Amino acid sequence: MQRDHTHRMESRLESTLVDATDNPKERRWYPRFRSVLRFLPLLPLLAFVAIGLVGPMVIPADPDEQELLNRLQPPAWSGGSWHHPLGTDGLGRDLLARVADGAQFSLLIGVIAAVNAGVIGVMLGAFAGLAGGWTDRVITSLVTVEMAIPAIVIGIVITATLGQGLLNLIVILLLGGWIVYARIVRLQALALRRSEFVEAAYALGAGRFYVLWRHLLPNLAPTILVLFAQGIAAVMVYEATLTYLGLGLPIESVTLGSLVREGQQVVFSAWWAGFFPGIMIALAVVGFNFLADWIQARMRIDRIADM
Amino acid sequence: MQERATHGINRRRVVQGGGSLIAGVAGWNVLTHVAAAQTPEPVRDQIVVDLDGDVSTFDPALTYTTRGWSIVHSIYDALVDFGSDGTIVPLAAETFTTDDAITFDVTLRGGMTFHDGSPVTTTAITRSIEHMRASDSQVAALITVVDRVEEIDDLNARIICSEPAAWLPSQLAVWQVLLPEGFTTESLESDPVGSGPYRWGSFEPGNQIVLIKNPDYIWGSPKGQAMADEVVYRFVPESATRVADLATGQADIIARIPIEQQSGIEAAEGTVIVAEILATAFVRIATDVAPFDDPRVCRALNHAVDVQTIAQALEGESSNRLASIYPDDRALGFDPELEPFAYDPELARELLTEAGYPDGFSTTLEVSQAPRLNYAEAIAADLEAVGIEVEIVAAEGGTFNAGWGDPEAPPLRYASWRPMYDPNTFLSLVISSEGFLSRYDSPEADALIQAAAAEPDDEARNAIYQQLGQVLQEEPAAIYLWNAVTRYGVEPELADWEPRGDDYIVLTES
Repeated sequence: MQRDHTHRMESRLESTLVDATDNPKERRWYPRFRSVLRFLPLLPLLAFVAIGLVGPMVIPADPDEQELLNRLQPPAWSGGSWHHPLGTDGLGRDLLARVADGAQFSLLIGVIAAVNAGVIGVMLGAFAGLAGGWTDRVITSLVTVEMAIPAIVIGIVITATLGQGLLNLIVILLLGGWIVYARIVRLQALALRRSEFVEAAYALGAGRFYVLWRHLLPNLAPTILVLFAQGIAAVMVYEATLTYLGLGLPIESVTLGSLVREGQQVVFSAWWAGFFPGIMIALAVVGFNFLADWIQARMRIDRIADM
Repeated sequence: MQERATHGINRRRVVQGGGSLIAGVAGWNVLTHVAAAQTPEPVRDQIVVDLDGDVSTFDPALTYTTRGWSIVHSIYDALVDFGSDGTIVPLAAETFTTDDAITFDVTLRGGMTFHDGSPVTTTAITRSIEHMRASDSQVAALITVVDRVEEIDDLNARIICSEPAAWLPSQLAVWQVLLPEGFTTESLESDPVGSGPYRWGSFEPGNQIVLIKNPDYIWGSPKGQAMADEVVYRFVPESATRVADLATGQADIIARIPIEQQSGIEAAEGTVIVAEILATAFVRIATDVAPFDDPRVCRALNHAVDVQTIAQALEGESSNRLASIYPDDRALGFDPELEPFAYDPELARELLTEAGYPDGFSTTLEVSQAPRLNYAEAIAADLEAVGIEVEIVAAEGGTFNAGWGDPEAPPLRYASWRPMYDPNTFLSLVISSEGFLSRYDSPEADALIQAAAAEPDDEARNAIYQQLGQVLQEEPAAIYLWNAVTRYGVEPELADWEPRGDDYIVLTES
């Protein structure tokens, strides 16, 4: 029975493949389309990066310039003017310029925090996995304890005691972000520790750092890259949540979270003020997660090709 | 736009005028009008009010916010009250007279009772004043002007001051409510008993308070009668949430709507009522620290901010730039001749250069609650244009109020003061060098504040306050902003509701 079923599946798959390659029309456009299609998942991220990195340089409007008599203008296509394509906020500031500025700042904070969290998390995870024993137990308990406390509570406590500020925000984001790296890298390191080439390296007299640097990290690179892409998205959402709650940065700083908070105040009369910053956050999250998937898929294909 | 403005003019008076005009045209119209007026309006079961924040104390002596006073003046009555034009009208007092502003003769109305059934007698006045004296109130020092209360009989008393205090009635109207026998500071918080139109129902801290109609409030009080059997005051700090509550029918009246939310209420078919309350908005300058100890810097700040544009855009068309702290001609001291500071960034820069700050300086501006961030950001942007870097600090309400006199607190603070019928309380607390909330020290201003407080004649007091207005322009204690309005959102059935001029939401109607 089981075999029959599998057989049927295989033949159906075969016939589809045959159909696809046999159609001369499809044979011409399909490979080209597929190669373009392969990069499609990167589109949201490209859009976000284009607005966040290039936007502030090319958008002529000053994100801080107020035009009080022009406040809460709707986007150009729903009754506003192309002078302010996405409309204006409660103080008459250009929303497009502010969204671009906010995206840039949020991206910057996201990358800085994710890099720091990544370095710390990978190091601690690798040490725990390689060294075992007490080092492992201490680091694992640290991870367990921090996992038990919701990240938002850590944010509230740190802001309440140390106050608002860029450095404090990065510390909060770092504290919330390193665990994922540590846990996954530790598990991988545990597995690699018992592999033959690591044992061989030890037998040849290599030190722990050498093994970490020459064997472990290169082998972990694909995983770390995927984690890093996901990490940026997670950190950006976390940062937006904190600034939305008024916990992150001083009031004047423009981030996507603070723009959503401002927009929410006028949500019943000016939907655009909160909508576009919200869309940008969504773009960033979807974009970085697609990137992570994309890397993962590419790595797997490469590995299969190598074999 | 379903918008209605209430001014100093009493709308009912206008309605009556209209009625008599119709009388000349068609007699039957008047008859129906009168008949309609005689039928008492059905009292609603419940009105839900969304306040713009928390009320954490119900002790009348410790209440300083219009939210708190909304509750306090629903439960209690004071001897006198503010009329809609800001004049003092007798409330629990049938007559309240003075010849010299030292001795005030009071005759209470007969037949009033507290919610516990005990009669309201003149001892209640003594209790109220003694409670204020013994409390930690920010205004306790002001009541020391009352030397003693002579209780002549149950209904007649004499309040005797140690010096002339023509401002005393306005102080009594806000803080000195009549307190029953046997009250304690605990009972004021947990089970307050007053003689007002509503009695205590229940309280969920941080969430809501319920008041119940007082069925014994049947005398012809100028405050009017309870509009509903039950009023629920909910604490909703987010303005967008208040608008959502109105739109979904969860609230019937919502307080303090920012101007940009008006169209949201209109879309939800609610009515926006704009009330020109007597309130003044300002950025208090701490003149006890550099660089603000130089009056040229304070004048520069006033010239640097385009107050008129900000007022029109963020507060509304009826708000205008003020020359000093007095909001409009309903307040003592308002001087239509005194010109406000001109918006002149060039002059501001010159003044800063003269004072030794050609490159400006950096400072902090404190503000409470989210809706006011807009004002702070607009003001900060104008200051930055003349080289003054401003960091905005948003403080939670309690922290903000505790920071008035704190020398460590940010030197600039955006605030508004209401009601301002009689400026004495504000001046004694915020401007006088001995004031509990003050960081301003001008011997000239001090002398004028004292002279006005002791002046029995209103016209003479007005002149002194006007003179003080000029002093406050030469040596500014604040960036004088605008006369503030307040916006309520109400459900269609309450579109005729007339808010009080002092921004208290006391739901009564005559």
